[in-house]
Amino acid sequence: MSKDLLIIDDEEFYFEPIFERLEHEGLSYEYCLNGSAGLEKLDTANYRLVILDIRVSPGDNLANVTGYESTYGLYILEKIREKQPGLPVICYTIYDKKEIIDKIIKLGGIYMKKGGKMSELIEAIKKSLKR
Amino acid sequence: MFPFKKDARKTYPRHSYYHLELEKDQFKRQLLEYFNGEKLEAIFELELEKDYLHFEVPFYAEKNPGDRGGSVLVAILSLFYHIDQISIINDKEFFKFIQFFSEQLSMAWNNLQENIALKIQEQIDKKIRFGIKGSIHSKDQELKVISGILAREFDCPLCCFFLVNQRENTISLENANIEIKRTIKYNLNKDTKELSVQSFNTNRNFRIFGRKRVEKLANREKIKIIEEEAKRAGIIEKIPGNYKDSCRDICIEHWLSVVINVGDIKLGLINLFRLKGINDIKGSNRFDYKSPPLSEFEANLLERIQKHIFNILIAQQTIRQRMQEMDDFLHQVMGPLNALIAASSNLADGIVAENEIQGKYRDIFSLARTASNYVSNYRKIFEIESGNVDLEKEEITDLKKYLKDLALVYQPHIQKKYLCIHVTDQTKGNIKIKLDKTLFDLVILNLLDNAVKYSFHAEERIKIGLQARPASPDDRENVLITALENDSEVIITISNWGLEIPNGEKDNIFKREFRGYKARMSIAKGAGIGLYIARDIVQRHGGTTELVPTHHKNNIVFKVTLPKIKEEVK
Repeated sequence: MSKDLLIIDDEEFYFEPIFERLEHEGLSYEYCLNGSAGLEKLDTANYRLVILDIRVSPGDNLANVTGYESTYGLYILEKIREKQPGLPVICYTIYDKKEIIDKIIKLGGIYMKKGGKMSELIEAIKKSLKR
Repeated sequence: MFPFKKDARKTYPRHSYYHLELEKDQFKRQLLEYFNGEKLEAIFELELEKDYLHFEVPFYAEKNPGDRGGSVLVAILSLFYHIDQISIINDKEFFKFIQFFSEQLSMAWNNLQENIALKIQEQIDKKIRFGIKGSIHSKDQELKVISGILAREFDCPLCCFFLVNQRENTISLENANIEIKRTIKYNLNKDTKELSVQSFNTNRNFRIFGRKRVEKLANREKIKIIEEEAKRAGIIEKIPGNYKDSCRDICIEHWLSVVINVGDIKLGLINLFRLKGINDIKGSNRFDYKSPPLSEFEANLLERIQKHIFNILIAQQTIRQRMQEMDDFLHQVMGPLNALIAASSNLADGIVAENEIQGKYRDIFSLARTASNYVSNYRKIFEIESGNVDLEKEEITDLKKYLKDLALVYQPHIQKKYLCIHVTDQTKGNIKIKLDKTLFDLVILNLLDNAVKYSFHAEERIKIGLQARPASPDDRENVLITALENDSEVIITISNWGLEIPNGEKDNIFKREFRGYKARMSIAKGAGIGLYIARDIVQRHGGTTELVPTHHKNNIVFKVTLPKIKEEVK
């Protein structure tokens, strides 16, 4: 099964308006509430793009992963890079610390700050999908 | 006269230098007294050209105000352990000097409190390292002073390592450096607020090396320090699960290093060995040492210093907690706000179907109210801590309606899980309670926030056997808000089926900033203040809040008990 997007974020309700927008744009997606579920999804299905929150919960399977307090998304990004180096990942987060942005870029992620215009997010998604 | 003078000649950008000037004859007398004079007299045959011993104490002040406190502290300790060893501690002037530095330390602490939150945070992240290097520059004619210091050091260092040129059977120490390193490690327990000095007076080395060797060792030391830090950080990070949080105490290491640069200390050392009766130096490369007991003065000073350190650590810990709290709060409140922006954006861009617009407005109301609730929580925390909470109570005449209105805030959230919030009133009606509604809203909303957040999605309930059949929008499972009463109290329960609260965490859930392990693994955003605030507000209304034991681990029930209004005595 192939979908356009895999979204990994632990606050489903707050993503509702984004789901609506994606549907309106004709983009298919799947949603995961935590990092470990997201990584499992990547093993079982094909996606063209991942939208990943940096402050995402790790989920039970990654509970022993340490050193990423409040930034488990970076760990997930590392793992995605190991699994699928070419898969575009938009890191959609409210963090704007240079340190975190640098890490995202270093890991080949695309940084995007939460809270901007929906059209900008859609534009970034479409741009990544065209790659 | 104050023995330490700022050295105006030195104008390094980050350092201020002080040097100690001691009257030569007095110093010599003290040395002789201390070292049982006669033997030392021989090595004082050359008079000191200068009238003072120069000891430099740089203060790393500008890079970080926090360093100042550390540098001053280390200066005290450094001087305390070195200059004292030649009995200057009893000198009144030196005592004044200690007082001066103690004051400096207080000032440093005040600075710390005032304006360094961010920098301290950075320092804590790096496992703060305060450093100092003092130097005693010696000319040939000062060798006896140096040897006097060394002699005293040989009486007390933990370990002494000499590098001996085995081939020539001599100690070749021309252009040598001497490094004295001490490591002191303070730990502040986050929970008990107890300060412990973990490795005080340990890891003290006294080394005499040739210059090349020093360079090699300096590099090795650097690597070692980095490795140690990495190891320490690694150990902290590797501690799994809940234990990790309890172990995240602040750890500060004071690294003391006094480098004594001498042109030629050979003579001094030979004299020293003669004094010590060490003729065969080949096998004498290690001396064991037991630390002498502290004098009353030393003990008092140490206590004062430790008190200052304790205050600094408390201040740092508070700052760190506040910053973490702020970060948690921002993430929590930005969730609904960002969703609000996105939902409004969808409406503005006209992508919402006509028949769905009403529902979207309800969602927007819910998001705005949730964000507002989080902000109120944060404001309330400060009011609670400042003791500035005034209740403006009003009588509640329709409890069910009051609860239903609040339930509406979270109804759109829970619908996404194919659940709904159901309010039942099992009171006899006409109950009389008085509430500060603005505050009490927070109680119900915080309890609902948890119930909604951690409730299982209908699909998940089926998967784990809590629900037998597929849920549909017409057949939703409930988060229940129930109002009950007895003779003197009104009881409101909020129950849901969701993430269990392990037994070990039940006693802590009302504590400030506590978030359970499963909760953190499930949802990363959360400030851990909702239940703390709920309980505080209920207490202010004369009531209680408790987690009720249930038969099933996934059935979570919170009970709020409030006193009824007593009938007015006519």
